Amino acid sequence: MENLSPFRSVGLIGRGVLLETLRRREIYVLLIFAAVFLSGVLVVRVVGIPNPETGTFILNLGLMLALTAAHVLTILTAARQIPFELENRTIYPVLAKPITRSEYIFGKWWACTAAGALVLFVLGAIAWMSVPKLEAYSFAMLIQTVVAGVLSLGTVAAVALLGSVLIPQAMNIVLTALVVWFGHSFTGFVVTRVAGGPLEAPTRWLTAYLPNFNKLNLVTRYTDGIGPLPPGEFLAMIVYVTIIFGACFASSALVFRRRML
Amino acid sequence: MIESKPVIEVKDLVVDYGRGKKTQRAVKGITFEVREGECIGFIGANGAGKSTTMKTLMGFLFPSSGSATLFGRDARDKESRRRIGYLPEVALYYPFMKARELLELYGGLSGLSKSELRRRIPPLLEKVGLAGKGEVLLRNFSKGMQQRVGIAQAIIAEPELLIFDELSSGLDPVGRHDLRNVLVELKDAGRTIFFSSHELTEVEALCDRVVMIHRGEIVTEATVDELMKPLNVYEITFHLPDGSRIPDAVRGHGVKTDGHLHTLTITDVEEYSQAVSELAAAGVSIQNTSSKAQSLEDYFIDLVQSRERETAS
Repeated sequence: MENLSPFRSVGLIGRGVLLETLRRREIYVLLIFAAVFLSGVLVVRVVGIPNPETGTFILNLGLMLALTAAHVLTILTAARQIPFELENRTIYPVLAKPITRSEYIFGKWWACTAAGALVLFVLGAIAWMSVPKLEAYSFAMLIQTVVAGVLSLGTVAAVALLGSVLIPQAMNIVLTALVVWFGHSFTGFVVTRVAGGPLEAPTRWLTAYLPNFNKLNLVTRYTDGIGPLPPGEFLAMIVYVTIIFGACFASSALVFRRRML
Repeated sequence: MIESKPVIEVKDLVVDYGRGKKTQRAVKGITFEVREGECIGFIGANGAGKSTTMKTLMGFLFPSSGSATLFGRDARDKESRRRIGYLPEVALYYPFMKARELLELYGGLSGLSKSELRRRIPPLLEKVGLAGKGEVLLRNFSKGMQQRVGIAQAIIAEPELLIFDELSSGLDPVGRHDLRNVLVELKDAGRTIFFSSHELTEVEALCDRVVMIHRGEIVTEATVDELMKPLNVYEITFHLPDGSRIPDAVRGHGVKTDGHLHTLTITDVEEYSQAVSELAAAGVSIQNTSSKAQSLEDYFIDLVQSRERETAS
């Protein structure tokens, strides 16, 4: 018997998640969704795209939908992993094998991210190929948009996995979705309300720890024909995501290691 | 004789559920060990603390005090888990996986290479009675088939120690028979087996030793022979004419008298033979001899009921 490397155990745990994703109904819902979108785009192309603004609008809509669908799938997949395993007791034979609980969570994380990324690539590619491109579109910016999208999926998977070891599944899905789509607006609103008062500083301090998913959405920047982010700014984004991921992963691993099963 | 090494060591183990006023003590300071090559039955009524003890051994629950170790290490240590196979109580397996994929996952996590897995899986499925079911999704498996695949995942890496919680749960008589053959094979191969079961005939037939737990405390720990010996009861009924006395040689045994009929009750087979000879030598007319063999199940039920009566009073 070989000594199992952590990479192999993490890979095997993740493979299970990917098999589950491919064999569940959600993926078919997304495929139908993609087919409907593609049909719509084809109709528009047959009728004709009257001006570049319409093309830009359709591309923006398509990429935004792809990003949203990928986030929805990632949240749903990540949020149900541990509760499902606990409820069905499938977790016991897995954790009876020579793997650590941290490796188990890491395996779940990469696979949830990969499942979301796959949806992003497929739906994004459909949207991207369906619309004529303006000359202003930058290929480097497209790469940055995709990388930022995947980083965002990784972060959301880490947030949802952390939520899954702390709170009930339904609450976790709702809260994670709120953080992803409304976190930025909510923190902005709260900070505005307390501005000038004694609570401003602590509120700003607290809200700074909420991951800002708006920063990771570069779709509109790409479709507006704006150039790529400077390398320093892009690197800072990667560091920002790494810190959030590290904090979420470390917290969930710590909580899960101490949890009685 | 070289004494075998302890594989499982449980010392003064206490496990509590909940906190503060809601704390419930599931295991109350138990101590026992399982040695290399032994087959031990861990028996007790529902809620006695069997699964809690096993889950603590596996590192799923944490001791409130005391310790539970496997191969001298904490159960959460990867090294100790590399050497064990575990079947959980009432487990379901990933419904979206095929039986082959599931065994590839668990075998892979145990460190088996892909080529080794390809070699081992078909005969293993055959051994547990699932030949030809490798490509069937587990969502289509019955409870008994799930239990069989559970046994397969526990033994796929040929571990030194097997821990089975509710071994024959969900299995029909044929399944239990097949499983018994698998266990005999594993036992003969020198594996250490520690299992809980409500099928006490299975425990009686397979185990070297039995550990009985009741309300979180160990109430009996003995070899099956030690336990079964006093459960065999021999009775000799004889007739004494008026004025005769019971021969001195048999007076030491319990004698019940009903008019001219006397009944001796003996638990040891040799003492029984001796008593028959002595009565015959004394010219006593023996009316009847009988033997009653109590089962482990009878013993267990008596024990649990008497403990419950003690608790109630």
